[in-house]
Amino acid sequence: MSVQDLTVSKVAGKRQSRFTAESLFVPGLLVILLVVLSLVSPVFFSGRNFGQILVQAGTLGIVAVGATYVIIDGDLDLSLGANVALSGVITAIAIARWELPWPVGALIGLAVGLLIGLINGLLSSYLNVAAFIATLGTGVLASGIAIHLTNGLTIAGLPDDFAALATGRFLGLQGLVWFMLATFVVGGVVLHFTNFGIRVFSVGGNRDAAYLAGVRVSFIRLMSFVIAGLCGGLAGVLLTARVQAGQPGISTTLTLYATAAVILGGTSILGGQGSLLRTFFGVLLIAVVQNGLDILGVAYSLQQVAVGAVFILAACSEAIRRRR
Amino acid sequence: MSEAHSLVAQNITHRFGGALALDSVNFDVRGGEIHALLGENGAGKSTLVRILTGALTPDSGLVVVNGEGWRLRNPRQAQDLGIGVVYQDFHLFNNLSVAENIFSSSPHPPSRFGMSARRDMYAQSHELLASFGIEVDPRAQVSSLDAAEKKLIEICRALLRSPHYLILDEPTAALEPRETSKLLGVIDQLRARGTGVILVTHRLGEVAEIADRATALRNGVNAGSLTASEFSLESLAHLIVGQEVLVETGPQHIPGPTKLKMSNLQIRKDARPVEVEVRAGELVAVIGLIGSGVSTVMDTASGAIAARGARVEIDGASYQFRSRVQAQSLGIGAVPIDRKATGLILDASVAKNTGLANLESYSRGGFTSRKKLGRAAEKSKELFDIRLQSVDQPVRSLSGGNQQKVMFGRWHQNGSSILVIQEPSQGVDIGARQEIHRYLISFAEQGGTVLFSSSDLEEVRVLAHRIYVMHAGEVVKILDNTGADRPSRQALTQAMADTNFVGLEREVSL
Repeated sequence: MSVQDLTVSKVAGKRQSRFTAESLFVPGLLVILLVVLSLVSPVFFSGRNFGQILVQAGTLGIVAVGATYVIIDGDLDLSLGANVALSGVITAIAIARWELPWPVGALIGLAVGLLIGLINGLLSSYLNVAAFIATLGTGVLASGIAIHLTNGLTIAGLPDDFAALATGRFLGLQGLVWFMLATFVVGGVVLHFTNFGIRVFSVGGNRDAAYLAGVRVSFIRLMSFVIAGLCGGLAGVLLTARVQAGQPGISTTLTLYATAAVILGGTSILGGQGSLLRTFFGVLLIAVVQNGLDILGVAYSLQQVAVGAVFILAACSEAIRRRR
Repeated sequence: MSEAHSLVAQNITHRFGGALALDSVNFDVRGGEIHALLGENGAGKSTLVRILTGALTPDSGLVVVNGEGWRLRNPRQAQDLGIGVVYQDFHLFNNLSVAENIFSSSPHPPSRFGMSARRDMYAQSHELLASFGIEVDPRAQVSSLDAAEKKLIEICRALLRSPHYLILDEPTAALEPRETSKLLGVIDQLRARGTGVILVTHRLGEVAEIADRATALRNGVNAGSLTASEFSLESLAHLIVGQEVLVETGPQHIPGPTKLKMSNLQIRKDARPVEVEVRAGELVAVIGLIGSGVSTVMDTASGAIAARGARVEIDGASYQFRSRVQAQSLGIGAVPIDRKATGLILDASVAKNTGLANLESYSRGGFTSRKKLGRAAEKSKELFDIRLQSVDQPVRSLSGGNQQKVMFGRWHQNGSSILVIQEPSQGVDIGARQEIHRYLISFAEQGGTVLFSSSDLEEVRVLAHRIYVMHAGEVVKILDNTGADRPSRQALTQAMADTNFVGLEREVSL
């Protein structure tokens, strides 16, 4: 073996080992948190509470799947939170005010999400508006519509069988959790095992090079936004079902938490690198932190402080490990 | 050797992990001398450069500066000892002025009362530039300069610390012939002032033209040295590769009927529209200075840009390319000028980069078959002798030559019948370059069509059947490169640069 071969293999080997260190970091942090919280609180370590954690992770997880697609292909979707609010509100209006059957209402909610994604995609990839601004705009717009439609109030009066979509139990887990898991599985299979997925990664890795290789870059970006929009719509419908009310005031924190979960998991904000499994762990991490603080009786405002600190901590350690 | 004024790498050994990168290597440069450091990619040149500049501390061995031995711990130390370096890639601030760039790494930029003193900065920059006969306004923004001027600015920045020794890592890699001679002129002046210059380069013509000595590394050991009187392209190539290098003779076969014909490409308003014709089995080169329109011709032919009005005929059917996707579906593969910026997805695996252009062939129902993808990459690895450990390793970890081979492998696996290539072997070592040339000629022999551009005139001479010369947005000359009166390198340089000469010939040749 020549020196050159050895150098190459050495580089490859180093990359691989760094890769595993990187992919073990968040799960490791998660395990440490679980152990610590179990020691601190007797309530924490129980099947019931774990079920609760997954429920807390539900909406965030579904949204984060969409965010992962958009971030890997090199864009950003800041409208996701508002998307959840608007599609949830319109679902509630369709069912409670227009008295449509709840499955129809749910489909309308999904369609709203998809439409927002489509608009984001058309603006960003075909009109070349920076995704940051385009989605910021559609987000403010969508959340404005949601508040206008409801006068800022929650919409109640939803049927129980609609609620069962999110809260009904199957094999011990709530519907919302199953939807979240299914979103991750389907999203993961498409992202990691299909031609479309490879193209999403190539577009995020190097847009010009992907174009030169005959990848329809604009279409791939559009589709990623549509997938994100659809995830937002699904999360909106399920959230409405779970709390049995349309909530216009879902704050922008959902967008930020979802984006944070993706980055926390180890997907590059620059695009081209990442995985849905990583996002899954990122989501769980956030849910566990929130749940632990709930159990410890920490006030909501302080919880935000703690979650923010976790983001920064994780981001720093990530940056430090990358530099090595 | 006079120890008083020399920079010596003494008995340097360094390992990366388990791999021996440099094995007891010795290298030296004296003041007022240009010593070329040669070798294929991976031979250890850049490791040696990093050791000499303090960016890397070797496992054993010393850097001896003017007779005093050092173990350099950081770049600062090397700078203080008078060792300067200009790296291959540009490290300039495009948004700042020339003067600001020159002073950007200076420990003491001119200042008055703690405020940066622009006027002094401009004056000192002007003085420095003028002393080398460089005609650049110190107030100009760097983004407005051409590649050679940028390189010269980087050299000036290094010179601000008045180094006794200057290491230039592939300074001409991004330059065209005319710019190269400008840069070589400055290097010559440095030598005259007593600076010891280490010139790392792949371009053997430059070595023969300017260097006093040349030393090659091969697989991390000294492969030998030559002095100026022994220089020839053959002897230098032999020194690098370690075996007789075949003299490339150019394509011998005769091309078939017209395959690709591009017409009505209007590059400048006042220029005649460009028309380019390539026959099946033909290798056609397009050459010209930067700004002459070569890249527009190539990008239009590959569909990378959609030039208004330009028509491309393939096998007699006429198209107006709207996108790269369309051109690709007609069998056109494209190798861009900068494979890292616009050719490869660096973080993606070799396999994915190979298969990206025709994923459908490696999948079923939209699901990608890793096995089929891997097999395609293995095949292209065999064909091009790509040095890699695994086809799943990211392209980023390969050397430049191997990356370029991955680009070619993609279009080979894709079954493209037309290749549009910009700079087939830029930043590629001799071995890989010859393999790429061999591939292109055999591709053409089997009926493939090749349209390529190159600033390396030697490459043009050994590859092309015909040569299109461009100037100011139009084709000014079409040269036959197959007969006994093949144009010399000089003639090509002149044809590109001299409009008057070209203007006289125009009527005759077209």
